[in-house]
Amino acid sequence: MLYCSSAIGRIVRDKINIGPMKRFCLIFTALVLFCAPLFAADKPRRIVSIGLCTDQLLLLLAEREQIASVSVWALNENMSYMIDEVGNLPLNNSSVEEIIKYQPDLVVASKYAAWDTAKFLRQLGYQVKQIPLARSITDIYSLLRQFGEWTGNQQRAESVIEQMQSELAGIEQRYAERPQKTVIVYSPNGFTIGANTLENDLFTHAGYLNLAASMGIEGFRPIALETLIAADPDVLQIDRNLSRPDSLATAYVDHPALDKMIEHREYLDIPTRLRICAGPMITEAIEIMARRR
Amino acid sequence: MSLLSGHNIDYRIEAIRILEDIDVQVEAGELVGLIGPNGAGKSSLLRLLTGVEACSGGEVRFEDKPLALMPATQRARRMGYLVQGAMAHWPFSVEKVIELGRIPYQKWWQQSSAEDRQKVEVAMTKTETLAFRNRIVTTLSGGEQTLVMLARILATEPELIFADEPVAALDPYHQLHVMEILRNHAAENRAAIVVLHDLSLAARFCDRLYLLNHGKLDCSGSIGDVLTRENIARVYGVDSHIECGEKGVSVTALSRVSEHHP
Amino acid sequence: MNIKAVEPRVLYAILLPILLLVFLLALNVGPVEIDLGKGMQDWFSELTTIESLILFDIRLPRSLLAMFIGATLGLAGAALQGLLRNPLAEPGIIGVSNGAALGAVIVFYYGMAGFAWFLLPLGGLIGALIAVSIILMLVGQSRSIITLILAGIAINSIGGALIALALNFAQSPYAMQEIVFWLLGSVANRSVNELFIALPFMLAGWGMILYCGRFLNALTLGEETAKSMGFEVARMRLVLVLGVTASVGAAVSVAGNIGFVGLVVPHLMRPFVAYEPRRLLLASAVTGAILLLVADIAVQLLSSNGEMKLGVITSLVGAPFFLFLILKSRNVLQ
Repeated sequence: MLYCSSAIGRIVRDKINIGPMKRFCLIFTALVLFCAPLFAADKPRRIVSIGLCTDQLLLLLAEREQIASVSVWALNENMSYMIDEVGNLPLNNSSVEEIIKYQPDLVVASKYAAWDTAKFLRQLGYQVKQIPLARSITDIYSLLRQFGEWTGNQQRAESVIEQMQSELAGIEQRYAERPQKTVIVYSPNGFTIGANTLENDLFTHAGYLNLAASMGIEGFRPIALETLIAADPDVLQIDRNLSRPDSLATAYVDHPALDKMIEHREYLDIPTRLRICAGPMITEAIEIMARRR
Repeated sequence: MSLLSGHNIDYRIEAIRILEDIDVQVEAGELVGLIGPNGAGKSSLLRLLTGVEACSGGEVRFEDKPLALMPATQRARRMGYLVQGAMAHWPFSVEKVIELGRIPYQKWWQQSSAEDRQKVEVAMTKTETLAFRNRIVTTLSGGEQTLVMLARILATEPELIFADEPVAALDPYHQLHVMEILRNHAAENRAAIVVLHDLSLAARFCDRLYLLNHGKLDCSGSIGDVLTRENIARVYGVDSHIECGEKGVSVTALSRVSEHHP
Repeated sequence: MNIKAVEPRVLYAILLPILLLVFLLALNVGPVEIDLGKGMQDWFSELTTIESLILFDIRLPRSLLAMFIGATLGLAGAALQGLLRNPLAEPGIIGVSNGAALGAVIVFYYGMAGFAWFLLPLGGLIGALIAVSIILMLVGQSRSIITLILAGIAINSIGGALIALALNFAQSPYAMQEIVFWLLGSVANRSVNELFIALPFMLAGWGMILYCGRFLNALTLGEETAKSMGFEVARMRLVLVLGVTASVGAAVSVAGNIGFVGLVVPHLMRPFVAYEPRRLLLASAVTGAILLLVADIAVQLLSSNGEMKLGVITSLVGAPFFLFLILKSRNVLQ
């Protein structure tokens, strides 16, 4: 900075013959114009993401040069929507040692995963930002905005939000005539998804009534198989990515009673990557759900 | 033809020779005694003769057919084995214990028949155990328990009874009672082989004796042939007094022989 | 002292109706109230309704499984106690159940279970067999109860550690937390599939055990006497052990290690069958079925979402009982 100004000062003095006041203004303007890019560069340049959902947001909103590393989950076929964008970016296992190696100026994580890594990094003096759990589509919009701010890509965030809004409006219009249907989710270990969750909001936007929410279930809770069957939903959403159960948890969704239920009901299988993280991909999920109504 | 005979019996456990070249014969109607000092191999010989253990050399024949070829069920029906210190592990009633003697005649799904129960009655009568048929066998005295075990064998109606030191810890009353039962059993044209320590009892009840020493047959024959002062001194290492009278034969150990090494 | 033994006819005239009653009660228990009558009607009319689905696809398999497993554990306990002539022997205490769980865990979590229906219960069988063989080797000819318990502690500890290890290295992220199921046992969420793969092994095991009934009676007088009664002791012991490991192996492979049933049940029933090991077998089977059904009903009533494991109930009852048995026989133990 000082070197800049002294150099410019000498050049002006030697080459241009103008009065001292005018000289000063000229130098000042030149300085501002010259150094502006340096001031304006608040954007983090080495961002590391240590979770699946921040991976998605990072790959979506940030410039490629800003990204130092994404987590290994970004390459998971079932869970990562932005998998094609990963390319040859370095991957991390969310361990502190790996992350320090990248000397990040910003670390992004979810509030509800790898929080001990986040805490440790903060103690070591790194800048760590955590995204909260989105419980509705409105939450997703504020999340996108916030993330845009942290990474210096506010405009990009706004355009993504705009696109989402128009897509959602479109979907609602297209499927307005179809009747509303009832639905319940059943996942490994017998868990269902109730009110005050993002999934629930997706169902509402897609024209479904989530019976678990109607029963008063909030958040992620286990539900007895009998209760599920007694609720008699039109649609059952099951996570059946595995052909053979590899644990007792995944064997829950393999119970023969569910097969019998599905014979007479509908079976809705939304790819996990479309519904597990906050982001524009949820509109695709809503489209699939609405279409199946 | 002997009821039971053993020829050139050898018995080895790992490298140790327990029995060497033993010949034994038991005829119907006989009560045979196996005597000898501790560790002479009497119990082992008895076990080989019952077929519970196999000989290392030589063979045992039952009615002149190899014992080893006899089916287990037949063997169980025709031979009864009273082990040393026989006791019941679970607190059965006396009657239940004796009923176990009928197992060789029952298939695995069968219950006791009327015939079985009748044989049990007969066995209890012979051993005079009717009085405590409902008592728990583990609460009986040593002598009473032995009678119950003997009754169990009698319920099987075997031809041969093998008894390993049946009277070792019993009072005189029960000692005589047990020996009498064995004597009576042999008398019904069957036979019994008994391992004994008490030489007087052996002399009084047995028809013939086999004297074993260090795994070898020292001598055999009638009471008079085997129970001589010289034999006893040589094998047992004690100087004894033998008295033969109309009340029977009694052997009394007097003193230890100094040069004897057991 | 005379034992209050009960005639077989009378005993089963009492036990069997109790079993039926408890079974019907178990069918009536669940998170949802349903009309059993309607459920049965619908099923027979081949209608798939909520009632028929809940009754026949959820509750019936679960209760049947509880019944068969309870019978298996009771029977196996009685068999082992007869064989080892030791009232403290039972599949859980001597480590057979943990061995079975280890075998099942290896088959299930490492992807082998899907290839054929019998591989999972077979894994349980092999695991149980290895555990029992080690126990028999350690105990040898010793009649001492202490030796048996110590050997059991050793096998149980090793088994538990290996189960944790196997789960740790398994692919599935859920594996590690499922250790609770394997060590405590549960019949929740088990379907007809589990019943079908376990039943053949259990029934075969029962057959082998019951075949050895007379042998166990003869064993009361000692191995030598049993031999003289015409039993090939080594062969009979093998058949009995195979029966125990097949049935327990299959039971554990679908429901985890449910402990103490095989200890409590034979002890309760022994006086009623005049201490006869052979009679004890069937009596323990029926009583075991009853007790496990009762425990499963309790589990469903006590925890609304079925999170409590069956083994918690059986341990809460069985462990103090075990302690009481040890204290009571302190003088007799050698």
